[in-house]
Amino acid sequence: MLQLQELKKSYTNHLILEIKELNLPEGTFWIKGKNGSGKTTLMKIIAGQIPFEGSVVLNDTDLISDPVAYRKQISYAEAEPLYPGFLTGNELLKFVQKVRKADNQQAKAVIDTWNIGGFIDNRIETYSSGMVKKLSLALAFLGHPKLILLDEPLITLEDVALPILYQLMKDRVKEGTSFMITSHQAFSENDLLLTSKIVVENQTVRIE
Amino acid sequence: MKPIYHLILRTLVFPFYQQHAGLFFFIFFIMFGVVEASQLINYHQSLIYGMLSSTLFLLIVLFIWLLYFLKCFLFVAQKCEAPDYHILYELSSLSQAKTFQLLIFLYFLIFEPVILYSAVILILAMKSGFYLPALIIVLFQVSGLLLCSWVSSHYIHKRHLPAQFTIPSFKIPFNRPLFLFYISHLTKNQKVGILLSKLFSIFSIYIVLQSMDAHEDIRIPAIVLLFGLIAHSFLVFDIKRFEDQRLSWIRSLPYPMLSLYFNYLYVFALILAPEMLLLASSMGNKITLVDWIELYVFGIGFLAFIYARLFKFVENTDVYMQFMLWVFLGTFFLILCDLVPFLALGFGIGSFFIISKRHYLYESKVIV
Repeated sequence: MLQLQELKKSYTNHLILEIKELNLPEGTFWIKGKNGSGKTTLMKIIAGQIPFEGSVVLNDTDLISDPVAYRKQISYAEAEPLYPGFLTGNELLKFVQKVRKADNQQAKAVIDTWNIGGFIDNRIETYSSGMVKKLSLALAFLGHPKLILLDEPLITLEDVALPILYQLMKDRVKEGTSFMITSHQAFSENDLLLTSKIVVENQTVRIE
Repeated sequence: MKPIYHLILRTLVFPFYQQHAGLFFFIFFIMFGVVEASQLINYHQSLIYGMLSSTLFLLIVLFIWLLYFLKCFLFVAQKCEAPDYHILYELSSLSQAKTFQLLIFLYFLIFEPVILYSAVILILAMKSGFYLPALIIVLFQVSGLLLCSWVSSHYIHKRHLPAQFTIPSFKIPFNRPLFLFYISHLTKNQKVGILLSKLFSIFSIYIVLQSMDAHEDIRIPAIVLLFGLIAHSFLVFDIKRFEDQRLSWIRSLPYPMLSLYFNYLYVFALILAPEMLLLASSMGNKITLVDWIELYVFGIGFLAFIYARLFKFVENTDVYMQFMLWVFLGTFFLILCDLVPFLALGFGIGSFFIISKRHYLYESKVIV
């Protein structure tokens, strides 16, 4: 599913990540690591958000040589999402729906599942951080990405929303979607069937 | 109290000058860059005597200063609202008089460019016996300083009380396309900036159109438009900052590069619409349709080009200012050589090349 080769990321000569090779099959992967270890950097590289050296290939589609086709296959929910406050949640959802070519039925299902219909027509600047988080997770499930990256999906999320997230993930896994999740909170086997854990430490990664 | 003064300097004063470097560059250029060095003192003396002896001129200057004060006040208010600046509400644990004093210090420092120039005006006014205009200027500056400080202090201390009035807002009855995200940001957060740049460019174009003969050289409106475009440089800078802070999530969406590029062109086309409408009013009389199209494409291309360069050095305002100076001089020279169509094409191709090459290689280091 995902291949990283000779991947390197530095900031002004300070090495953050160096991965010689990482091949991941389809599945659900929990990315673990201490604060500042490079988990979010890894997520952002795979999401195509930041430049890097090396290659990232998802289902034979290279991020560098075929960026649009690559991005069609991925979806990324940031740990602390920031959106223009003057937009309503619905405007944002419609925008992402259009870009990701998701149908109205799916958009409606996402709103209902995440129970965000009550505030989706309000401006985002009126949302609490938990509401913004729910919106960002809802957006990540729009369309039909092959890999969904969730950076700290559990923070600021209310307890009653956790089973919704887990159920959505299980449903998508059955459809062949893979997940990469960073979280400081542990998942139990009942919540998610993890394929493996990826530990980010010492500027590289290892599969646990 | 030293740490508090230090905090105000670091959190408000320095960021104010950093964020408005483009605007200051433009003002500095207009005030000191458009005349020969040998004529600089005479130029400023004429300006100052003009405002001291003409009530209308003085009122225009006071209006511009008022816009600047408003800009400063809105900057402080916006910062106070930002989640990462909530530390400023610690000031409410001081007495209101002490907070007021600190805010006078703050506003004095960010009004500094206006205060310094006013000091020169006052010296000349006193020497030449213009006592009434001098008194008006002093009263205007002092009341502006005190009023901004008092309102900000009141805001910090009384924010637990409900607002006494709110500006009504309306919902746009359609889903905004991407380019309107940028325009909405400007109309919401850069009202004074837009007003300043539009006042300058529309006023300049209007004056030039009035003095132009029928079907005169395109170079004259092109040069005036160029000054107007320079006045928009800080808006362009602000749009890039907005994109870095609030639209970074778009980078992981499957958005084709050509669509992204055209999206930027739509933004700049809309920004320049008022100037182009004004120029269109003279179409058939003073400029031709072809001239108008050339000027519009040139304007959009110019803004797209300076935007594209921000994918290289958005954080470094010094380099941005140097770049603006060189691009202004180069463009000015090429307009004089009657190469407006060439410039329009060059800026268009250049901006597309830079954006498509740099867009995903660029990484914002803006702290949000």
